[in-house]
Amino acid sequence: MKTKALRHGEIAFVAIKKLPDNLTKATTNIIVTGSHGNNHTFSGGSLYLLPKLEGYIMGYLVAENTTLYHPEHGDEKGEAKLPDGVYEIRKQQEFTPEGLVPVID
Amino acid sequence: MEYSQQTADLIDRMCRYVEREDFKLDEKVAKEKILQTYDLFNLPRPKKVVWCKDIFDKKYVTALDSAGSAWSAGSAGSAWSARSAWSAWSALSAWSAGSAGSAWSALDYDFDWFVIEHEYCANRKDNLGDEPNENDKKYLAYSELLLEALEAGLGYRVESEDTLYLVPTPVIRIDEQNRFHSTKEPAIRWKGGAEQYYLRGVRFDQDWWQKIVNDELDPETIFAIDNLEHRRIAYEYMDKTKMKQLKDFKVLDEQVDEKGNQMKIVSFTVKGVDESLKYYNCFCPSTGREYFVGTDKDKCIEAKAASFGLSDVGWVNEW
Repeated sequence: MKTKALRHGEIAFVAIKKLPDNLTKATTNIIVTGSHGNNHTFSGGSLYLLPKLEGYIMGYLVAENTTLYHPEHGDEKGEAKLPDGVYEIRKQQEFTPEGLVPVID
Repeated sequence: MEYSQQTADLIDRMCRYVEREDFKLDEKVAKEKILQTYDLFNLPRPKKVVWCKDIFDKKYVTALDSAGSAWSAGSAGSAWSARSAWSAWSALSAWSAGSAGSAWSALDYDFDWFVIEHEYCANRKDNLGDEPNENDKKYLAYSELLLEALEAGLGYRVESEDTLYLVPTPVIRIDEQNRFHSTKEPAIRWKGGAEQYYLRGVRFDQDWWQKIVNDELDPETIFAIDNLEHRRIAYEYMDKTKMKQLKDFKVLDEQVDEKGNQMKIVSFTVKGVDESLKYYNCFCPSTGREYFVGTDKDKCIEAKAASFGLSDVGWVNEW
């Protein structure tokens, strides 16, 4: 069965059944800070960020009437509606001769 | 957004000081206008006024640090998130937000509210609600003084220990999408002060900026750039016939993605690396920008999924 995912620039929201245990709810609405000042942010729902990247996984989002914001990814207002659900947040990485490195944009 | 002619004129005034072609600073007028904002609220004027060359000036940064702790970062943040990009000045203000923590010290940091309040007061026919009161009038008077100071060339101010530190407005260059951009000169510069180079809203060191705009980079160098946005811009400015210079250049796979955009896997070899380098070539579904992402896969679909550590994905939506 195919994994269902939604992509927002260099991050992907992968649908999962439930949250892992022992997560701490984030107090920020910034999912990822962009290197050029363009952050991926959201409204609606709960964000759980891991202290550091675990493989590709950087955190989790329980989406409830969630809108994602980024000036360059979304509609003309930079908004994207994420369907309600539980998501694993993955950061895109690229292959280099030295190994995998997170995509910096 | 529909608004009255008077508000349209106000926005034009805001755009004019940001889009000015060259430096303009009338120190006397600018200083007096900003000091009049103290008079407006019956506050004592600061004892001393110090001009700084740019917002990175040590005196200014130190004053910002000491004054900033008393400011609510939360309120500044919410103002930014509410800001729309409908005019050039928002580009400058948004940039200030990320520079030296100076967002709130920009004279126009609150100017989206100035526009809204101005429209509310000036266009009573189309705006329901109570009649404007004294506070509305005072806010407009305050904002008008700030605008006049901006028109005289003042961009930023901060007060610390009874001293008012002032910084002129930089000259900026933007593209048609209000992003900092210039292929000819710094996109942001202060007279005798800082200069910053941008292409399509992406900042570069002067050395890299010069090489990119003069198309002096070879494709090997461009593909080795670690920042994806820098790589994308450098590739955009590169004469594409240079791709033929890449040794053993091949297109391994070509597909169309779920959004109808072309995807490719390209490979080539470079000096000093035994194995071929492979890149997943794709287009952003929102901006249409072209990217090259390093991969070890031969097929586009696999490369896209693998870049997120996945293997068999149904992409429900993409932005």
